[in-house]
Amino acid sequence: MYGWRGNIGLMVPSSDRTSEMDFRVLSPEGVAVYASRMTLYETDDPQEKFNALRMMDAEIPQAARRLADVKPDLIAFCCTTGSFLKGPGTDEKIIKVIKDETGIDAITTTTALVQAIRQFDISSIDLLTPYNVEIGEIAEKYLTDVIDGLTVQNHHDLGIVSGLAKCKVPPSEIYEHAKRIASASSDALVISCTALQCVSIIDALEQDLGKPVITSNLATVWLALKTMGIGEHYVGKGQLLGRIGQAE
Amino acid sequence: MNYGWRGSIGLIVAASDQTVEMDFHAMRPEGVAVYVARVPLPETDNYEEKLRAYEHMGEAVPAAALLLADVKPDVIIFCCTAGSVLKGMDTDQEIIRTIEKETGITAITASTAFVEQLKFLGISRTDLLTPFTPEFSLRVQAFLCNNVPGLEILRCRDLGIVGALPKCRVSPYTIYKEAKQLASTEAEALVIGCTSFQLLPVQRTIERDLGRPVLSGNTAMMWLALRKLGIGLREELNKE
Repeated sequence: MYGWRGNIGLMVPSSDRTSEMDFRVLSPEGVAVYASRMTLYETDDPQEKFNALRMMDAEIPQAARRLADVKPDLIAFCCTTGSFLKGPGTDEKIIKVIKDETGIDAITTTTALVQAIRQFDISSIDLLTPYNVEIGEIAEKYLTDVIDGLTVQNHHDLGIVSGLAKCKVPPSEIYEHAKRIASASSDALVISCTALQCVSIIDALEQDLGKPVITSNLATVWLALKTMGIGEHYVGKGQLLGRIGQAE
Repeated sequence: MNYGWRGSIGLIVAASDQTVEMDFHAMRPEGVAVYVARVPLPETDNYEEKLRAYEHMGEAVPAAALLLADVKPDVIIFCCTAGSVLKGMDTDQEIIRTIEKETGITAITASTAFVEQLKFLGISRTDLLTPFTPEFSLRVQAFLCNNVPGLEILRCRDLGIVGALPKCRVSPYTIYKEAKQLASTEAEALVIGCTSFQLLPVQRTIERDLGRPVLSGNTAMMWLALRKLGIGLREELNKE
């Protein structure tokens, strides 16, 4: 039967073509994945995007309730921007709304990114995002505010506003951007945004850079499985997932 | 390559259905992406309440279709057998019109897929196994017989389950045994209703043991969706 080992519920922005697929591709034997959408209307206007993200917030309770019906063990709010936009504490507020609404344990992408970075015990990162610079700045500030002693060496934003356009960046282009912006002195590369399709290039990228690459979705899968107590043996899916089930 | 380079399928799923999206992902051919939006279907064991829940679920379809439209799927499927026969012979066409009007995207439903696959295979005599109450099963039988010219349902067995989660939890082995017991010698096919039934792991085995096609809601929908997308079917369905 599906989900004999555990069930994960995903809340995804309506235009996200990536999170669900990454989770399905990576979910271990016996782990079921169910999805529910929240409206994130499409726009190419950076100011309008803030409004779209605010409106998505309002749909969190409904999307959580609909997932609760499949009885997941854990609900993951899968949107990085949505879970850091209002600064430190944004993610905890979302987690509280989901828990209050459903009584089910919850995590967010930003929570997962932060915990994943802490897991590696690193002090400097490079940061690659698909965002416009305004949101890119908020992302950087969030990470450095929340993680003691963390510095960002190189930071590059692709300047994409539309959700669908972020999903359509070819993995090979993400690889090229990552190679170009990675600095010699950083301990890791962080690629933010659940819409970017990084799973197929993660192994090559880590080998070529010689350092861990932490992405939004890999971090969320990692934290979800860790929270559910599921130890999978991942090969070639990045150093973070490689740590699952290993002694910490 | 990006997900869905060959095609994308959007599923409108009853909130409590643990099966349909997992089946689609188990069957999904290379390069085909699957995305989900949920419509409310509160759990209940009361038949009258369940009928009302199905009606409310119908009202949530336009909003769910719009949520899916944002990922630009090539086809949207309303994945609920009961919901797509509820209001009589034209229920599925009405849902298809609603989705297509709302999004401009081609739509199908679970019951449409059964009808199309039965016609495609030229089936005129079938047995029917459902998790529904006998009362509700009559609606499914009437729908199929009305929409597939000349179709005769020889034997029918209904497990009498009202709640959605209990339907998801019927073991594949129970479904296998029920199917074997039900099958009549004269039937050319076996139709197994309801998208929540987890029969994918045993569907091929039932086909081999009975020596006839077994149609399930989920394989019929995948079959019809891939036909709409122009994607080849060889060895891609009923993966074990």
